[in-house]
Amino acid sequence: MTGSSDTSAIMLQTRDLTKRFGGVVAVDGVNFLLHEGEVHSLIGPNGAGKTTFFKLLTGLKPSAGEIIYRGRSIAGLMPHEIARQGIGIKKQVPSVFDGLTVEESLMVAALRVRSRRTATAEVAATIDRLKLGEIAGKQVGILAHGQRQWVEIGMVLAQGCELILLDEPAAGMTSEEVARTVELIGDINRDRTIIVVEHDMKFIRMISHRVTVFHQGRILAAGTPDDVLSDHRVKDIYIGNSAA
Amino acid sequence: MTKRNDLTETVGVVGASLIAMILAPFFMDQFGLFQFTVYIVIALFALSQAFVWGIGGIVSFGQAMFFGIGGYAYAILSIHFGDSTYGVIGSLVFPGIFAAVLGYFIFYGRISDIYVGVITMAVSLMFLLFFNASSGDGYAILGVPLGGYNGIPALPPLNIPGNPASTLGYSAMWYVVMSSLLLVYALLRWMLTRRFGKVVVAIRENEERVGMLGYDPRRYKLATFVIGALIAGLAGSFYASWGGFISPTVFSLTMSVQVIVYVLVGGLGTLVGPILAAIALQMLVSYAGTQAAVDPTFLLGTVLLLFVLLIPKGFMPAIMDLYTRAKQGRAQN
Amino acid sequence: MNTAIIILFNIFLGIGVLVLTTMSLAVIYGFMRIINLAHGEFMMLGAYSVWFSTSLGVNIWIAILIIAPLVVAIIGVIIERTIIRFLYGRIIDTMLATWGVSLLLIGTVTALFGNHVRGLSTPLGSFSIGDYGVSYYSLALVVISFVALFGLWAVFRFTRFGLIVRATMLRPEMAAALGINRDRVYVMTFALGAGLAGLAGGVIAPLAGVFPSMGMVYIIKAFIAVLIGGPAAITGITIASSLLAPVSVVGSFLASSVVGEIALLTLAIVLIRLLPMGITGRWPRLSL
Repeated sequence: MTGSSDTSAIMLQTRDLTKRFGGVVAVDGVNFLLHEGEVHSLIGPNGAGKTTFFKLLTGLKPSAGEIIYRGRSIAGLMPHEIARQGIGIKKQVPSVFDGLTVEESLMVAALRVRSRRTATAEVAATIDRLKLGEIAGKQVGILAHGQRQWVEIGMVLAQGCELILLDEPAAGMTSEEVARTVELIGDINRDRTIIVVEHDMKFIRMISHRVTVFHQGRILAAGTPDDVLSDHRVKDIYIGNSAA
Repeated sequence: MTKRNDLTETVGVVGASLIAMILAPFFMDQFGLFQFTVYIVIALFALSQAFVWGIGGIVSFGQAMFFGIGGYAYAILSIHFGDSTYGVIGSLVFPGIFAAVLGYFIFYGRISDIYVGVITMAVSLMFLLFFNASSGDGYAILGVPLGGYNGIPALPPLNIPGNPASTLGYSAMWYVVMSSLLLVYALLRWMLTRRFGKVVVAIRENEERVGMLGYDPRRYKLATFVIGALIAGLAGSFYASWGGFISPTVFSLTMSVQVIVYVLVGGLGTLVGPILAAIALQMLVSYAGTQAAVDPTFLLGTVLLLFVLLIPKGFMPAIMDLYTRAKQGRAQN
Repeated sequence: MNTAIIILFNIFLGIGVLVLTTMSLAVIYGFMRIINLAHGEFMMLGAYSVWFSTSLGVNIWIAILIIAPLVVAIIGVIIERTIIRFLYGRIIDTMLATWGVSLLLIGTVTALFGNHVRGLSTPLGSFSIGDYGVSYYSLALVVISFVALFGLWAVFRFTRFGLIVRATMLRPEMAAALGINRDRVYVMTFALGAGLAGLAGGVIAPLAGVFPSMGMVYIIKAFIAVLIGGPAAITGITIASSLLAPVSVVGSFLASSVVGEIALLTLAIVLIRLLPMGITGRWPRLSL
C-alpha cells in the first residue's frame, strides 16, 4: 500500500496521555501521532493499554495529559461532542438500532448534518458503497453479525466524519467477510483517516500504513507495518503468538 | 414500514375518526355522548403515555402528575379569571414547565431507567400527598381554595375564548375533545416523519449510538418528556371541565397505571393502538361496573399482568406480526 | 427537654418504621434486582393476616411475629413461581407485572373484606413524657425493627444460605456450574423478602389500621431508601433510613406532616442526583 508520509498534516496527537484505575496505570504518558489520510493500527497484547487508549479517544476522562484533534482538545468530551468534531466510532460489538431498518438507521445518521433531500441522496450513496442494497429495507435486529458491522460502518460514514475509529472490525467475521472488510477499509480511506484496534496480524499488514505497538501502557514501537513487525522487541512480546 | 404506508395510516385513522366524530351526536343519546367524551379525554391522556414511553422509551410511571397539574391549573385559572381559556392555556404551561424542570434533573443527571420509573412515581405521589393535605384556609392559590381531598367543585365548563357567557354544551364539548385528540395524533405522526421524531425513536433503540452520531440524547429526551406533559396537561384540563370537578385522585397511582395498561395493551411504539385500547378498555370497565361483579382495580391488574406475561408487545404489534406472517406464508405457497 | 426527648424518640421510631418497611426491598431489590411494586400490598396482606387471626382469637404477638410473615412468605412463593420467574432479567417488565399483582391484591382484598379501615387495639399500654403520651408498642416496634435488621444481616453474613444467595446473585451461571439450584435460591430469596414485608405489615397494623390501600403510604419511601442506599443493600437501607427519618420527623415537628414528607422526598431526590449509584456505591468493597 502507498503510505502517507510523515510530512502530511498531523490530524490528532496525544500529549503525555495517562489513565489510572486505582493503583493500575493502564495508559502511561503516551505521545501518539496521527497524520491526515492514514490507516493507523493500534496493536499490543491483552492488557497493553490499547483498549483504554481507544476509550480515551472516545471520551473517557484521562487522569492526565491531552488529546488534540485538529487543534482542539477533545479529552473527556461527551460522545455527541466528539462526533460533532468529525470523529466516528465503530464499536467492537456492533452498536446499532435493532428496531429500525438499515435505511432508517442510515437516515438518522445522515440527517444531523444534512437537509432531508441531500440526506436521502447520501443514504442511497452509502447503501451503494457498502453494497447493502439487498438488505436496505430489513430490520437491523434480524441481520447477521457481519451485516450489522457494515450497517454500523455505514452509519459512521453517513454521519459525515473525517476520522473513523474502528474497534476490532474483523472480529467474529468469516474469512470472506474479512476480505470484504479489507477492501472496504481501503475504499473508505480514499477520503477518511482511520484508526484501527485489531488483533489479527495478517489483517493489520493488509490494511495499515502505520502501526503503533502498545506494551505495558506505553508505546513500544511505531512505524510502517514491515518495520514494526520485524522489530525484535515487538517479536519478543508476541512470542507464542502466530503473528510476527 | 414505508412512507406511503405511514401516510395511509395517518390519513385513514384521521379520516375515519372525523366521520365518527361528526356522526356520533346523531346516533348517541346525550348521556352516551357525555360518557364517550371522557373516554376520548382519557385516550388523549393515554396518547401522552404512548408518546413518552412507547415511542420515546422513557419509563415515566407518573404521567398522572402532568394530568393532575393540568386539571388543577384549569380549575384554579378558570375560576380566578372566570374564563376557561386561561385554564386551558395554564393546563399546557404549568405541566410543561414542571416537566422541563423534572426532566432536566432526570435526563441531565443520567438517571437509569428503573430510577426514572420510581422517581416519576414518587413525584406523582408527592402531589397526591400535598393536595390531599391542602384543606383549610391556608391552602388557596389565586384565591381559590384547594379543598384537600374533597378537591375543587363547581368548575366552569369550557367556553368560547373571550366570551365566558357562551359555554359549550355536550355536543360542542364532544367536538372540541375529539378534534383535539385527532389534532394531537396527527401532529405526533407528522413529528415522527421529521428528524426530531426519527432521533427520538432511535434513542429508544440505542441511546449510546445516537450520541455517537452527534445528537445530544439528553435534549431529545427532555423535549419528548415535555411534549408528553403538554398532552397530559391538556387532557387534564378537559377532564376537569368535563366533570366540573377536580380532586387529588387525579394524581393517584391508579390514574398513572391505567394509561400504562392502555399503552401496553395497544402496543408500545404505536399511537393508534393505545388510543383504541383506552376506549375499548374503558367501555369494558364501565360495563363490568354495571354488572357490579368485578372490581375495576382487579380488572386493571389482571389485564396488566396478562399482557406483561403473555403479549408484552401489545395487541397492535402482535396482530401486525400475525398479518405479516400470514402474508409471507401465502407468498411462499 | 421533654420536647427534645420526644423528638429523639420519634426519630428512632421513624428510623425503625423505615427500616422495617424497607428490609423486604433490600432483599428483593438488593439481591435480586427486582423492583417489587406489590411491596405495599405484601405488607397489607401481613396486616390483614394479623387482623384476621386475632379476630379468630389468636394471640396478637403470635399473629404479628409468626403468622403474618409466614402467610406472606407462602404467597410470595406462589407469586414467584407463577409470575416473577418468567421475567428475570426484564427489569421494567417485572416492575409492571408486580404493579399488576399489587392492583390484583388490592382488588381481591377489597372484594373480600370491604374498603374500610379495620382497627386493631394496640397491645401494651402507654407512658408519658411530659405532656406527650408514648405507647410501649412503638417502643416494641423500634426494638423489633433493629432485631430483625440485625438478624437479616447475620443470615447473609454467617449462614450457608446467605453465602449461596450472595454467590448466586453475583454470578448466576457460576453458581449453577457449582451445582447450586438457582431456581430454589430465587424462590427462597423472594419468599424471605415477602416474609419480611409480611412482618412489617403485621407490626405496623395496630398503629396504622388495616385497609386495602394501606401499603401505598410506605412503598415510595421504602423504594427511595433502597435506591439511595445503593448496592450494599442492608448497610444501605440502614444509612438511608437514618438520614431520611430525622428530616421527616423534624419537618413534621416544625410545620406539618406534609412538610415533613415533602422534605424527605426532596432530600431523597437531591441524594439520588448527587449519588446516582447510591450511598454505598462509593464503597465497592462493602457487600451487604
